[in-house]
Order: sequence, then structure tokens, then C-alpha cells
Amino acid sequence: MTNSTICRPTVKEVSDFLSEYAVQLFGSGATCIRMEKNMHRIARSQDMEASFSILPRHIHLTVTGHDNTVTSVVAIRDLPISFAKIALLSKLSWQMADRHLDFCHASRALSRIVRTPGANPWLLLVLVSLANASFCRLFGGDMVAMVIVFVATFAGFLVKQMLMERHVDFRLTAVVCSFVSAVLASSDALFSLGATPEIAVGTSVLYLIPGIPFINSFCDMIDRHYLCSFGRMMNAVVLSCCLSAGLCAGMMLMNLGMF
Amino acid sequence: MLLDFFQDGLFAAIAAIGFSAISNPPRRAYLYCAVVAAVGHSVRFLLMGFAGWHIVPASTLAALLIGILAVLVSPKSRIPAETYLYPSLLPMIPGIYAYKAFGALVMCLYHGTESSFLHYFYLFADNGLTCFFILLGMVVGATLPMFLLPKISFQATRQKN
Amino acid sequence: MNVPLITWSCIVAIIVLVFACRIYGSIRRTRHVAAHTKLFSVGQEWEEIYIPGDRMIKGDYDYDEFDDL
Repeated sequence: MTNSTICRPTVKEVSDFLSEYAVQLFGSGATCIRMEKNMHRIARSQDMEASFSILPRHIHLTVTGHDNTVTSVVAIRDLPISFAKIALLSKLSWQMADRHLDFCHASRALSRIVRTPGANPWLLLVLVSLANASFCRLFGGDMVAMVIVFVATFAGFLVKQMLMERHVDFRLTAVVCSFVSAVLASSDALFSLGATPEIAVGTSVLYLIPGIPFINSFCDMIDRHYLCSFGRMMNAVVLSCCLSAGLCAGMMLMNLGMF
Repeated sequence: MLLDFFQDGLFAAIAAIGFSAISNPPRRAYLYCAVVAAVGHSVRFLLMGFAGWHIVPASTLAALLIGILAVLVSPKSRIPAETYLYPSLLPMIPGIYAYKAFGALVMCLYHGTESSFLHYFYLFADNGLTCFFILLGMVVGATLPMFLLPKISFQATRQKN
Repeated sequence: MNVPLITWSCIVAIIVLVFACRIYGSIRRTRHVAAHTKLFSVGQEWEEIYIPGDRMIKGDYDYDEFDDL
């Protein structure tokens, strides 16, 4: 695998590589412990040391080589959560550590991983709607409620995808989507179709709950990365607030009792 | 009753596949997600329905169980444990508690009299605390096996020579 | 008509519109891609002898390789 020309990166190059790697890993929803392990592994594979701290909107990274030290601050980008990317990035770090891949190849592999496409949006739409409908079942909804939740989720997620493509602020997206889903889900109560209208409204917005940020934030808390944990939790809480606001607005307009 | 149990597992599996699809797991992980989530949710269902446990300890124990399962499976599947452990926790996320807490907080301001304020504040605190502790318990339970067996869980993607 | 019914109808109308737009957009995109995908085309030599792990050679010369000469 290794090329005949030996690829010896400078400390600056490794620092640039690691900062892009960190931004991608963080944006894809990796926990701090995963980031630490992978980045130390990569730095050591180049006979360097890396240490970093994660601030709410930036990553502060210092790479120390045998001759000099480079410190850089990179801004965190809002990327879609992707565990496939995390798995690929972790694999890349092991390939570098085990010397299956030299630095130049790894840089190219990283730029390829960055461009990994997401799932098919239409498939995603159907899967999420099915998931939310079965969620409604788990909470004790009847068949009618399941169908209505399916439709409400389908519509809400469709709007979410459209707004996300246009890079609308994610908080505004949450308000709009939860409003749409709540209004559609309340057709169960509006036309008195089924026996469990309140479950239909209650579960119709659950696809917007930021589950992975919540889990990651608690995971970082256990790992004593309190600042990062708080940042992630704040994001998730704000998103839940927005979702709740949209739901409340929808329920008020549809004359539904609050809880 | 047995039917209820299997239904719970089945719908939890569908929910796990759908919600994990949002977070783009590796394609091979979907199956593991479904199985792990079905086991977790059914265990919680059993503990709460038959043993009469509170939702917090039941979630913690269920998460611990699927955490162990995920860590043991991860070297075989060659994908990091968390890439299917976290998506399969999603059906157990206390989403309803989370938004009910905020809804109740809004209602606190909306209602003037002291008794209704206290009622909504109680709802806010109750739902918020339950949500917080379910999440904490779940994450502690699910990640404990990962931290206890780091040799397995952080080397899943390593190529074997 | 009362407020809930008006709200409901508005939202349903908007969603139907959004759905139609999205289907139209996705059909147009697939047609666009299909029009530019040829069934037969002349391949390159390296595509046949390519082994996974080889370097992807874009042009005849890879100038970057000779930077240090």
C-alpha cells in the first residue's frame, strides 16, 4: 500500500488534517472520548502529540512535533449527524496507527469521507414516518392514531427536509415542523375518528426530539467534559423548547386542551 | 400478555430503524440497531409491566443490558459499538416528558391563580426531573460496558492482519 | 367556519403543494441524470487494470508528483 516516495508531513500539515478531522468527527455526532482516542492515535502515528479542548462553537487544537508546535482554532460547522461517517473516520485513524495508510493517502481518504452522501431522502421519509407510527403504538395508540401519526410525521418531515435544504435556522425549522405535525395529528380529535386522539397529538412531534445530542451530552458529562456536555445539552434543550412551542401553538389553534 | 411483549419488541425495532435512519448509521448497523433496540425496549416493558419498577431504574437496567450486548457484538460486526448502541437507545428517549416539561413551563406563565401555577410548576418539575434522570440512567447504563471493556469497544474498526 | 377547521385546511393545502413540488423536483432531477448517463461509453485503460488502493490518476500527468524535482 505505502508509496515509494515517503510522505513526511510537517507539524502544520498534521495540524490542518487533525482540525478538519476533529470538525468532521464532532459535527457527525461523536462523543468527546471517541474524539480524544482517535485524534491521539493519529497524532502518535506521525510521532507527534495532540491535545485539544472543545468550546461551544470552536475546537482549540495544539499539535507538538519534534521541532515545533502549532496551535489552531477551528470553527465547528453544523453537519448532519452521521454514524456511518464516524465509523469511517475511526477506521481511518486505525489504518494510520497501524501504518496501513501513509499521511498523503489518509488526507485523500479524509476528503473522500467528507463527501460521503447521506441516505436517500424519500426512503428516510418513509422510515421515519413508520417509526413514529410504531412509536404511537408503543404509547398505546389505536390503528387510526397510527395512520394519522404516519401522515403527520410524513408531512412534518417533508417540510423539515425542504427547510434544511434551504439552510433555514434549525430552531425555526423545529417550530414550523412541530406546528405542522401537531395540526395534522389533531385531525383525529377534530373529526372524532379514533379513540386515542391525545396520544396521536402527543407522539406526532417525537421525531424532532434531538435524541443523539441528548445522549452525547450525558456521555460527555460522565467523561467530565462538562463544557462540551453543557453546550450539547443546551442545543438539545433549546430544540425541545422550540418543538414544544410549535406544538403548543398548534394545539391552541385547534382548540385542544393542554395536557 | 405474551403477545403484548412481542408486539412491544416489534414496534420498538421498527421505531429504532426509522429513528436511527435520521442519524445515518453504517448500512450494516441497521439490523443490529433493530435487534438491540427490541431487546432493550422489551426488557424495560417487562420490568415496568410485570415487576412494577419505576421507569428510571427500568431504563437503566435495560440500557445496561443492551450496552453489554452491543459491546460484545461490535468486534464481530467491525463497527464501533456506539454507532448502533446510541440509535437503538432512541426509542427509550423520554421525548414526551421533555416537551411536556416545557409546555407546563409556558402554562405556568399563562395561568394567574396560585393553585393553577403550582399545579403547572409541579408538572414542569415532575416531567423535567423524570426526563433528566431517565436520560442519565440510560446513558450511564449503556456506556458503562463501553468504559469497562475499552479494549473491545474502541478497537472495533481496527483491521486484523 | 371555525378557527380549527380553517387552520387544518390551510396546513393540508400547503402540505399537498409542498409534496407536489418535491415530487416534481425529484422527477426532474432523475430525468436530468438519466439524460446524461450513457448506456455505452469508451472506458480508459486504467479503469480495467485498477486495483483498489491504487492512486486515482486523473490526467496523463500528475503534476503534483513532481513538485520536489
